[in-house]
Amino acid sequence: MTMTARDLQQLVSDDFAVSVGFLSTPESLRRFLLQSKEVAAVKEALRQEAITESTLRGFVSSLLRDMRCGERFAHQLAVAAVAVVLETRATDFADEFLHDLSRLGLAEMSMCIRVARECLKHRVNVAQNKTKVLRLPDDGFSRAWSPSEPQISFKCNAGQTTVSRVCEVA
Amino acid sequence: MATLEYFVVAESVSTDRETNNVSVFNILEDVSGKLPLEIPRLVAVSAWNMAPEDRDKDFQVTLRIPQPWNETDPKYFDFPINFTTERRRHRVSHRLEALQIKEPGELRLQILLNGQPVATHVITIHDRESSVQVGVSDTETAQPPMIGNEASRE
Repeated sequence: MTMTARDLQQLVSDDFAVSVGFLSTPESLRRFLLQSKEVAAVKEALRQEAITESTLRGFVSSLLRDMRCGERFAHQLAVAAVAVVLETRATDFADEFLHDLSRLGLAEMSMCIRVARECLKHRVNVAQNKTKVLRLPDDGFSRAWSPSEPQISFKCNAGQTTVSRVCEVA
Repeated sequence: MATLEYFVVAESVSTDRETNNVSVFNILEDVSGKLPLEIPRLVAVSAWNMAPEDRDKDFQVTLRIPQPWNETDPKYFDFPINFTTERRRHRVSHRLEALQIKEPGELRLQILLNGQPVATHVITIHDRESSVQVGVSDTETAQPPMIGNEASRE
């Protein structure tokens, strides 16, 4: 059965909470969540694009509306489960989510914050990717590659960085 | 200190978001065509193993493309990418578009870490118009001249 956005509600169900029971450490909770069928289902739904990262973002935002100062956050398990789902995912959203959550200092949701920190510890094994597209202006590049031209410098922007220059060899 | 795991130049590369596995398509070794020609897409992928002490340090990986056809006064284009990582492995992809090639020879693309050359990928350019063919090496014309000769530069 394909999971839909609506089925994310499994993560906040009583059955899911009962299945987890009482796990006192973030390490043990993370391990349990990694093996749970609910987390596996969300991972599979992401893989199949039945849900998107945007759906996850909206889901977590909706949970956080129930946050009350001074009260234990009721949806810690679901947020922790999302952190575990994203632990091995090689996207900017996963990075952002885990880092943002792990940096929080809220006692009300300390368990899911500590699970996120655990996830980040294990995420060091996930290779990080950095890509830059270098678009070169046709004129500049053609001229620069001509053997008859003297040294030519040009710049082009890919994102926020100047990516190209011509250098003399020392 | 970061060490190079691999460096390869290809037409395209794909990274699976779920598994984070990399697939490299059409590694560029020999390119032939009527000169001048254009390589429409090119991706230089390098993977770096990071030591524990490299965490949060700044690194710069640079793709260096020599300016060909000018061995007496060699110049090159540098494409630096800076990064800091907390991971054990870091992949850097330089994507170039519309690389213009005007003469046959060896195009030697270098990867540098913090300004130091670490590895080279050679693409041999063949002119289809002159009797050069890929895999033919028994004639003088089948041996392209060196372009961006590293020995003269380093």
